[in-house]
Amino acid sequence: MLKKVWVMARTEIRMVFKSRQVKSIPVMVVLFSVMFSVFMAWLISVIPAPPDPFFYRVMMASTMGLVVVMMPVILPVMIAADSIVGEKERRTLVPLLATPLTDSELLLGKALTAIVPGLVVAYANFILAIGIMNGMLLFMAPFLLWVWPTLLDVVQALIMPPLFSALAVGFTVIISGRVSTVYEAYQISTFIVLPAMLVPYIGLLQGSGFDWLILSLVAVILGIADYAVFRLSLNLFSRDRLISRL
Amino acid sequence: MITRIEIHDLTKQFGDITAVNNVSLDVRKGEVFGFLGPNAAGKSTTVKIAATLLTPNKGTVFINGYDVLEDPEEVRITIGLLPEDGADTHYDRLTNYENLQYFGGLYNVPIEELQNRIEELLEFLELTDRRDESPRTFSTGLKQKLSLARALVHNPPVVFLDEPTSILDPIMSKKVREFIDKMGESQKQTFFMCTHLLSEAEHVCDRVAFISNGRLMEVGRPSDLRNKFWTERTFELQLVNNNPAKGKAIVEATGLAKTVKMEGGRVVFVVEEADRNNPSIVYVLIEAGLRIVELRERVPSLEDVYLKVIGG
Repeated sequence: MLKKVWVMARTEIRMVFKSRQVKSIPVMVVLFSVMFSVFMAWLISVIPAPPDPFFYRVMMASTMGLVVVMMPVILPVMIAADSIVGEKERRTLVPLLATPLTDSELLLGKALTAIVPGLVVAYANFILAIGIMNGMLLFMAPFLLWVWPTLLDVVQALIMPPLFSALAVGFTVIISGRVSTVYEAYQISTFIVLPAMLVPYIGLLQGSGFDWLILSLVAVILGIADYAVFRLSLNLFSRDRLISRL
Repeated sequence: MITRIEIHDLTKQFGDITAVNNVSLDVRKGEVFGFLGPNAAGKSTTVKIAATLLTPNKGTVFINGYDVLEDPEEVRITIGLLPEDGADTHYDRLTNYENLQYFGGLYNVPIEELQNRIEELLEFLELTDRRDESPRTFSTGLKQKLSLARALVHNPPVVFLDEPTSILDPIMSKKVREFIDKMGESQKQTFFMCTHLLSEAEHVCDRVAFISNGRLMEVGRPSDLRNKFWTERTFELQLVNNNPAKGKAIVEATGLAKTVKMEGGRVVFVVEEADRNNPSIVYVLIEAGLRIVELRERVPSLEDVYLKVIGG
């Protein structure tokens, strides 16, 4: 089973990175991340009073948390919409549906295709931000060096993106089976998953950012939601409906 | 005789429209089976159900013994599909070779075997030089060739071809027909071919079925269908010195021909029970001093049979 999923995901990811539309998004977000890091470092250097390390860490964790989550939400939604509805539009879906892929293999392959590029960019983004921020702090405010990220921030950045991606892709798969254009699928999916992007700010409500308990709770809830949405998308997946709508 | 495709009481409706209406037929191992009918007759819908892409409202299809409803994965392993508008179904972001490699991979074809198979197909279809190009650069005909290669890349025992040559040029159509014919002769692969090109079906198919408005009208070998619908046989007679008027008069006088006429210097007559009546007609002609250059049967084409069955 996994071999076919891997063949599918590997080939489709290769195609995804050839898409001009998709290529531009990681570049823009990485650019945003770099600009944000530079801006933060500049801000620290110009404010008269030395910033509170605790406040600095919470702010960085929440804001970078958002950036890191944003990528695995926006990019997978776009890729999943293009990968399912786009295949319908480009008429490549029929031969694919006639291959021995089972419904779960097909959806898993599509999900991986959508999730992996987002994760690569999100992690790259995170590492880049760590490097830039701490590199600049070395010269501007050495007392803030390595205040961010903590181990908690790193774990958060590692586990949140795949959980958010899976949720976003699950919704997109469900929606993609019911719409006719990539644009519709993208719009509706983004609208549904957008509130999820506020999750990194939950920690701010208690003034200290995510702690281990909140992180664990959010991860468990997202994990359950991911599984439920995947099962739902599998139950709702219908070759007949997809083909009849062509 | 091993049956590869069994269709039982198949019915498919789209809203109020019945696309396929109680269709039942069998296709045997190694057969090239032609599924003929006008546009919107139900040909493609039948193929889509057999390929597990659509679910029937009633009835089912067995491919190689597997039920499309109970064992769809097994069915999909067994079949190759060239879909309707197959030329437009390739990934433009992959090369032609990669397109075939992708589909071969999804069928779990071992790498070495897959490479050999792809090379073989590309060579036969004269695409070897263009293997590293994108299908985007191809004409519709070339894309269709790639679709055919994709349908055959995993060497499936049952191949569904939905209008495989309708958009190909005559030379390529002939080549594809010969290819299908060759594959069919090997008795290993079964081809189920939807087409509205009757000449194609006549050249290639062992048996054909006519479908119209979702209903199966006739199934049989082209020659059997001809015999069934043409009890009368038509003959053309050419005489030495080209004297058709005299010949016509003599044939008429025998009273054995149903109709006699002249066409382009030849006598054309229709008889029933030709095996009994023709020798008598020839005898009378010779007795009258006429010498015969040629007596040839005008065989009705599959198109004639089709028009008679479908009522065109």
